Amino acid sequence: MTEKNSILSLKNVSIGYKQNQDENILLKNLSLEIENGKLICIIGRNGIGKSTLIKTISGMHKPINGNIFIDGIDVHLAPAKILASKISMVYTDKVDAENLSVYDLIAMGRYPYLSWLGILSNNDEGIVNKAISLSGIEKLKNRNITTLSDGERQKAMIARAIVQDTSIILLDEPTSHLDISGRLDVFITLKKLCQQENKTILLSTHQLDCALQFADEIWLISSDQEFISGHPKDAIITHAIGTEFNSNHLNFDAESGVFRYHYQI
Amino acid sequence: MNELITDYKLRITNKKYILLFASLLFTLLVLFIVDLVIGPVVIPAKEIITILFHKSSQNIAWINIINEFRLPKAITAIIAGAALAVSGLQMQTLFRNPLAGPFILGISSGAALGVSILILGGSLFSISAILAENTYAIIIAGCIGASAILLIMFLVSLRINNMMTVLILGMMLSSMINALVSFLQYFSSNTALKSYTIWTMGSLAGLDNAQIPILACITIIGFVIAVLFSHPLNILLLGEKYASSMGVNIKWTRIGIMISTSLLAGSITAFCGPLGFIGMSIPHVARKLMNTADHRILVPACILCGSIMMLFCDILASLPIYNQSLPINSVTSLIGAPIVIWIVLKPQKAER
Repeated sequence: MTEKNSILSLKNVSIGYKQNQDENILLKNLSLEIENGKLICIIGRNGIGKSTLIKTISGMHKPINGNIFIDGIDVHLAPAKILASKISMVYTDKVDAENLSVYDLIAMGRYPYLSWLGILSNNDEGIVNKAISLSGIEKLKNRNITTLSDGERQKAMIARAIVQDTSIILLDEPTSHLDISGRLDVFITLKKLCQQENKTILLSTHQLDCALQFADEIWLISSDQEFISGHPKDAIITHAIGTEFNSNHLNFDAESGVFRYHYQI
Repeated sequence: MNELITDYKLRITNKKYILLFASLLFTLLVLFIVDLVIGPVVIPAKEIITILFHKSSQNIAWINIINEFRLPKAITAIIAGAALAVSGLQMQTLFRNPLAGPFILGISSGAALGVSILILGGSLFSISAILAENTYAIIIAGCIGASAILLIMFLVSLRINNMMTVLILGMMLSSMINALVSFLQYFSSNTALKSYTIWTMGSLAGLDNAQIPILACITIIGFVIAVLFSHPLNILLLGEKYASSMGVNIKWTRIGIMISTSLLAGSITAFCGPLGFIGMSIPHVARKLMNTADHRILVPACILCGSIMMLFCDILASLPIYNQSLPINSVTSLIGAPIVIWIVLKPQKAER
């Protein structure tokens, strides 16, 4: 038996939307095994199904057929609290609540483990403080979240996901509102989580440069609804990125992993 | 001001919070006594204490005034204020809208429809005028009306996932019901119209000593549900997407909160008529005062602040400078609306 230590597995999964009789299938018959401790970036054009794939894996959206297992548990059959102890999420949406402190926001991640009144034990507090230092936001701890910049807020949301203590973290375009240093901070934190905490991280992004530098694996969803996966340096990936994004004005350089712009005004 | 006290455990043991809650309780007690003192006949506070604790007084008439009239009215004010404030808090978090209130789901319109059919529909549906004067009949009509609307909204919210859509449906349903009530008003007699108008002005004095325990029981169930759902409500502050990713059962939380709000706001509207702006404004006062977003603190804070506010409004309404007491719904709106204006106008910290 050469079974690998896979944490997430997709078995014959087709994703998309079903409305009455109409089926809009975005990806067909996907079968994947994902190992522990990997940083995976999902790339592809807008509206191609990156978010739907993430939503489907997270259990929020039903696949058209097939099953998704995390630790051997079918995500679409698992009770909400069990699922919440397996997968945590970070979305693009800006969270705004009056008078909510960063610490309280992060501590909310303990929800699946707490009793109905939600009082944190010393152990819970330890986990919260560890996540705060992992994401480097000790100084923001007692700040009101409405006073944070977008980058700081996203770090707090990631700390909240860490606190949820799941083996998988899914992030849907976590860096889309952030400036270049904010983006880098997020990717460094995520990479640290993979290497130090052995977490499996799956994120969708339009930041190809960051994705290619940090990811252990790239999932590319092409315009003709093909799913291509591989190491960022793999020829199959660099070639696919080229065919997917190259145009009259844009040329992907596989050697350096960057895009060159051509334009005339 | 940016530094907030973090964590529930620290908060409930924090001196500032204990002091705040103690002073709110004290204010409530003082206003309760003042509410008993104030009225067409001013009864000295000392006499009130002897009436309450020794059931005797130098003036026998005063015992009657206190026991039969002012005490039930003050207790009703406390229950009504607390219930409306808590249901307003729940609706604001559920809909993530600072201007939501307990009546956003159409509860007051539903109650108004029930009562208007009873009072105004007399000539149309030949309901006897005696029934229309009966307080129990009015309460039951209000209950039926409010529950019917809530049932509709409830079924709608089970099928529709987007809370914004539910909100719009609630508002549209209210408008349609108000139109129906206008029809009834147009076709009804002057006396019926007058008694309906008086119902819409609200009253804390309509309840007798037998009805208060009923109201108290219904609202206590509502408060218990509110406390049970206060932790999931905290998580809902991040939005339903995040909340469900953290294992909050959105459907059950929604159902629980809607049941709690129906019991709280529905019973108050049926027993006292519509009482505006308390439910919308008090949660903001509580948030400002407690400087937290934690519902485990805000629910008790709303109970205290709501009661205080309602007692205060009742005292204003029954000052002996007028010939008779003012309609309570107008007073709560006059006091509550400026608070809402303050919420809208206050500088937005989040905007840079």
